[in-house]
Amino acid sequence: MWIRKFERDRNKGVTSPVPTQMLSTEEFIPRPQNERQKHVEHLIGEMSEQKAKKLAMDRRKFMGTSMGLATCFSAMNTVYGKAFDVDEAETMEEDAIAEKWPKGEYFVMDVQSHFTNGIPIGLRGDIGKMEFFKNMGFTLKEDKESYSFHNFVKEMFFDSETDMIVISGVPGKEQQRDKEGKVLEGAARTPFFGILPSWLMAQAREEINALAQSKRAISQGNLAPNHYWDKTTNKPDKAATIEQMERELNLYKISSWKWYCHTDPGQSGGGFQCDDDNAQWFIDESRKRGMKFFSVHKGYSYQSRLLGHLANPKDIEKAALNNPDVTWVIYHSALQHGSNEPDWKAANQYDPTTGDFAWHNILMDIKKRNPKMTNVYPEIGSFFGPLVIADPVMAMHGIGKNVKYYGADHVIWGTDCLWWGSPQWVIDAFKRFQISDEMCEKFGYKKLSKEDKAMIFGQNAARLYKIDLKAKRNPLPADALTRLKTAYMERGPNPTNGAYGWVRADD
Amino acid sequence: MVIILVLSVLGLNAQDHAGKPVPTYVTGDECLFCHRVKVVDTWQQNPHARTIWPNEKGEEFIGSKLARPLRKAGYGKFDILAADKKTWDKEKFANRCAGCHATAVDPETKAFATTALDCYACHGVADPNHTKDATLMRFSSKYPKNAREIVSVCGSCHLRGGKSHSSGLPYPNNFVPGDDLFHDFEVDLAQADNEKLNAGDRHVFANVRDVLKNGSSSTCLSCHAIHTDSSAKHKRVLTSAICQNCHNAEGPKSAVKKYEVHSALCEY
Repeated sequence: MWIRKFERDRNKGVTSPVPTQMLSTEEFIPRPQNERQKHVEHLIGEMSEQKAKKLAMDRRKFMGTSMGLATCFSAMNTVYGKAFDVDEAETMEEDAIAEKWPKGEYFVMDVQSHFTNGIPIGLRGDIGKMEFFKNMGFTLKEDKESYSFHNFVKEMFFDSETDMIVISGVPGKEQQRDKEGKVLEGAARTPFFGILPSWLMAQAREEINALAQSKRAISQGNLAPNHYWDKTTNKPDKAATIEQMERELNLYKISSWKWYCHTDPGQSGGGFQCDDDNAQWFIDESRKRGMKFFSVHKGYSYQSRLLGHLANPKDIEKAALNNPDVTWVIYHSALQHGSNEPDWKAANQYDPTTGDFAWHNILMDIKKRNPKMTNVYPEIGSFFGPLVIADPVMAMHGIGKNVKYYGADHVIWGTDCLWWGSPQWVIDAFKRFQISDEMCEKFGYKKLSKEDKAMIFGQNAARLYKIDLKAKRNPLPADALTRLKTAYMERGPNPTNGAYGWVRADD
Repeated sequence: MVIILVLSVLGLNAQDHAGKPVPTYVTGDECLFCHRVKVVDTWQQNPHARTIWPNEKGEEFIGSKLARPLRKAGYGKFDILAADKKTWDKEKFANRCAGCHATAVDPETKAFATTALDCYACHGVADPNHTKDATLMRFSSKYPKNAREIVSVCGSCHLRGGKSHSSGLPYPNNFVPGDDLFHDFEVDLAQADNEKLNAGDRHVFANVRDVLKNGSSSTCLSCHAIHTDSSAKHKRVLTSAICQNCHNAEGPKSAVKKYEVHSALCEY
């Protein structure tokens, strides 16, 4: 039986800013809390009670502080062995934390962030009702506002240390013309459905950057080789694809494509692979127009009805080798299934003796076979976070292998928020995360240095997206949320004049 | 044999897509981006999702039991391996199978938009506002129940032996959920009394007839949970004559009559 998270919290009187069991984004089915996770949760409750009492604080208030977060990591160390760098003093003194983990120490660039087009898509409601979601330190409501751009800005920029975001695409295509052949604009381009269409990502980017008076956001484009299809020839409708490509590059000013090979919004009759002829044609046309950056969702395949097998990263090898000038960022590090799925061990999805994960190992093998290939980058959104909650040892394997085979200069930070709420707990976890001596010795992993973390947190993505790390990035003004809210209320959740708004900004 | 052509007296919307272009609809992978938590896990195992299914090599077959091999032959086209297991038939899939084993068959070209049954096959064209108002999504838990609409959708494939008046094909002509199936699809409801017909098919005819002719509000969905592929709910239904399609008149209810399904159309 599922109960709402807030009901569970209220009943049990527990709060933790770090999830104490596996959560689901929208991309996998959660598994029940295991014994060790229960132990962690128990310890967090016990330790926080004691510490709050000593500090004469309400326990719930204590858990909302950085000391509460430190307490969570301390409890996880007790259960799993030392996976996080946390001193006892940090659980009782905020100054100790501020001194040890100064804000701004890392440039954080999140390449996987999402919101929706004012659509409450059910994810947070589904997640929030599940038992696995209990004991988190924040509430994920299921309503239009929770998925909104307004809440997105709040959670990414006000509730976390994220410096820059890449607004990342989701499956879907734009309708180019109406029945009379008139070119559509803005929301009219997604009349049937549009969770996060390219036009909206671009508009949101412009709004954020305008508010900050500096570059805090960039955006991707959803176009893929199977979005516009000539059903007579059973091949891509090249004219329509080029038209959309030029629109997304020139008008939307996207910074990367975002591909979902295992979806078919154009009703082409199938998905595609990054190394097939149609993809190569797309790459060539994109290259001609100066865009050589491809972000590809791999892994988390089974949201696809029939095409999940196309989320296997095996096609990346040929695509990367044939296109050495193209950058390939592989989202989720190609993790096939979340570690929370009930049968993932039975299905040999994770081998604890080797630390291999299904499909992630394929991505690793590609690099092993091609040590000189330097244009593939594993991204760790909904990879590091879920693994570190499931079992920090899994996270040691996941991050350890990414760094071992691809190098710390090739691992890209992403969180998949706001499905997860604010990304701050993932940021804090990674700051403190370390691979144990035993694991390094046994599996040949490398201890993560601050320099490694700096690269992963943001320097790598900044290099790929050509972001000037020295450029001044202004904080969003204090009234940004009010201004966004006002604009949102004035405009409505699905603005018919949305495209005009952002076109004016570009001008 | 009495052919009963039930005209549009169903109280459904006036929409009718027979012979018209397939409407634009949201594809299943887009639906599942949001609905994967509750739907995906069970749907992948559902026979409706496996009307065409690949083997481990990715070769496609008709039916979840991989009954007959298929071979892609252009957009929305399959060749099907003939019963002799040697020759490939280029017409049979389009002329017999496509309507119920694939989704959104174009009336003009007989080309389907996607293999197996996509969400659209039962839920129809999704209203973009359904995320804010679930009553707008056909067959959501909040959608107003309309018995005739339900049997129209289920009957579009499960009324085996029907024929499209306009196309002459053994499956409906571009039926879109919400349409009046029986405006164009001719079915012999007297099959409900055909003792020679297998119990499963007879049961479908009997239920549809009860809805159409007798105003029954009991539908397929009264007993069958489609996404979870469960008929557990039927245990709650009061005993009536229709039960005897599968159960004996006397003796324990757990005893179910055995029957075999044969179909000249489907060649088994």
